[in-house]
Amino acid sequence: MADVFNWQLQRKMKYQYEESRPQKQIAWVFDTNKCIDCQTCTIACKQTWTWSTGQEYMLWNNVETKPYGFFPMGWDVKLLELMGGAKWDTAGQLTSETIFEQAPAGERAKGFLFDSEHWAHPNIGEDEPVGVAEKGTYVDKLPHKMWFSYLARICNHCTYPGCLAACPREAIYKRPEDGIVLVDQERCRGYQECATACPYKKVMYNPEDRVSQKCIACYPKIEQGEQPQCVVSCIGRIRMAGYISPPGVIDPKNPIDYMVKVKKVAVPLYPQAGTEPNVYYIPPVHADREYLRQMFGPGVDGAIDAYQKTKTDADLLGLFMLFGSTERIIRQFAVQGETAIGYDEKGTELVRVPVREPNIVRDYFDRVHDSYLHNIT
Amino acid sequence: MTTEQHPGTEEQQPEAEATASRRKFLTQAAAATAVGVVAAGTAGYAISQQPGTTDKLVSHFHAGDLPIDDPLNKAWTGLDAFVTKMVAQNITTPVQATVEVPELRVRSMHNGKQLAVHIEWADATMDDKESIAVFRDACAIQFEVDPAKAPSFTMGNVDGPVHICQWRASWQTDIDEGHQGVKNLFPNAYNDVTPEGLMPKDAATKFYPARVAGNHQADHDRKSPVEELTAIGFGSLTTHSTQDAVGKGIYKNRRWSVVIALPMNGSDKTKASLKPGEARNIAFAVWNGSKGQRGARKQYFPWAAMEVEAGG
Repeated sequence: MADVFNWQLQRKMKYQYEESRPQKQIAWVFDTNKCIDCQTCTIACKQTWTWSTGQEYMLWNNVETKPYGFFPMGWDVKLLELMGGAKWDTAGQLTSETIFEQAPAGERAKGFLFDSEHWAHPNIGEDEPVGVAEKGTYVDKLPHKMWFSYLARICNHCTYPGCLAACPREAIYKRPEDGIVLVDQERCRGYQECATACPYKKVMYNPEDRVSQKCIACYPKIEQGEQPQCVVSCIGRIRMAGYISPPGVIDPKNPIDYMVKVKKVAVPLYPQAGTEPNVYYIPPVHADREYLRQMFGPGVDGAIDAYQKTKTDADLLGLFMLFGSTERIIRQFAVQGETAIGYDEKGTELVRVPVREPNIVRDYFDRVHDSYLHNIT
Repeated sequence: MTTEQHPGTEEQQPEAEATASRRKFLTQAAAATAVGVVAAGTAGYAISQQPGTTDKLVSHFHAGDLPIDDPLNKAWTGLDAFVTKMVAQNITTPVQATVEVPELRVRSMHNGKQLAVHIEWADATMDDKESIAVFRDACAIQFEVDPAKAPSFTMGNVDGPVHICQWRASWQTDIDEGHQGVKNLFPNAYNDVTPEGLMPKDAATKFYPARVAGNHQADHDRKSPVEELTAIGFGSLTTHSTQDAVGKGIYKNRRWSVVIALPMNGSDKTKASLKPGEARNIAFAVWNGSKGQRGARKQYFPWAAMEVEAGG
């Protein structure tokens, strides 16, 4: 095992291979507060990539309800049970051990493999709140006592993938040009060591072709400078895909850097596993804070504080308006007055959107169609 | 184990470069695993002395066709068996902590053109499915490609490639009953639209990347329950470009009886050449699927000298 630096843990950790960061690292920001669990992302992915025989159960993208929803069933409960609670010091450094550091003798990571039954209930727990609402219950302040929240999930295209570390055949690789993690469909022999090691359970075995498969980050689109299907199909415009700078580098014009490193409004999912996942979440403001700290680590309080100041933060507000505004990958952004602008890697303008949508109120009576309107705003 | 180069830095290669790419991969993988490998023979591994057993592994000359498709034939069971005490693989990660298949009973025959190895072992369950968290029983034999290079029993090394023939229970069922896929594993699975339901076979196949890539795992038109492979160290196992090995496995009375047969003169220099009148090293591996065994999670037996009887 090598010593590598995991910036999310603020320390070095043990990993199967030497640190080898890609030239660019694909990354996402998902705003959980805007997700309405419509599963449009799930279907967009399903129809694009996993509609073949052997992929019936596969959802490379899924949306689950927290705390009682999961796909596969109980994956996060099992992970936490296996790893024990995360421990962080006051400086935000992980003091507990990662899946690699907890690896039993002779194993490369601490993991578990779910059988088909665990994959058979993709929508279990959907919209289940944390308890039963008694008569007279009402919600008057944040966080809510009665809550559930949505968690959209894809492969995290981790910097230190558990799947890649565990494959004894080196059939999983991380592309140097964009950090996308792929299973080599020629070399895979279906051992499912990857599916065992991935803490997020985002590698899935295809029983028709007897190989493991996973989210490919829509790499044919990424290679053309376009965002993945799950991102562009999102009707809630909760997602943005881009590239995150390596540790120690911050480009405030880069939308991902700005959200993750400057404003720190987006945080990684279960960072204590140690894989340095590259999907960053804006945590749900209404959910139980202790639960969120367990889920997103110590950065969650600051993230929610920053998010709640968005109304008075012109740049952040403008950037949020750029979510879902273009199919292209926005490499740089700027907010000029009431306009937010997205640029590609060459600085060419891709899109400009108003920071605040104009508030238009129509008359109740539509003279053109000689009828009354139900919806006038 | 730490490789010298991060595996993620290697890109998938276009078809034309596949051979060169594989060679490069094999070289890297073997270089990474060569360190720490200890040469070992059968010395120190006890051989059972039971009735009907022998401490000398001989491939007997048998004129005419070998009973490859009939592992229960008396021509096999009448031979004294060489009993291997299996060792849990604990040299590379992930390791096999316990021995789940303690011994194999090995016999061999050849007719001058083809050499067959008969392997028999006790297994409480017939595991012939490959599915989600479900693994299959299997066995394998390994030969040195060039004995002068003295390749390590640990799947060879960078200068000493090995020739491996693996039989799997799942492939046997593929041969006996047709490809075992979703329709067999999950008969109630429903898929409202599939590529093959929408378009001609050639077009639909493009939606199955492992098949397009020629991965032996995904072969739906399997010709043999045995796969020929080449390796130059742990992690380097690669399907051989030519497949000539045949075989047959039968599960009866809680025992597997498996025959693996291969041409004695390999179709090219990257395969073992087995000559009558000479001795050749052979190594064994066995997997118990219901114990979660696959890949490195296996039992092995290192090089045993096999005398190939003169004749033929």
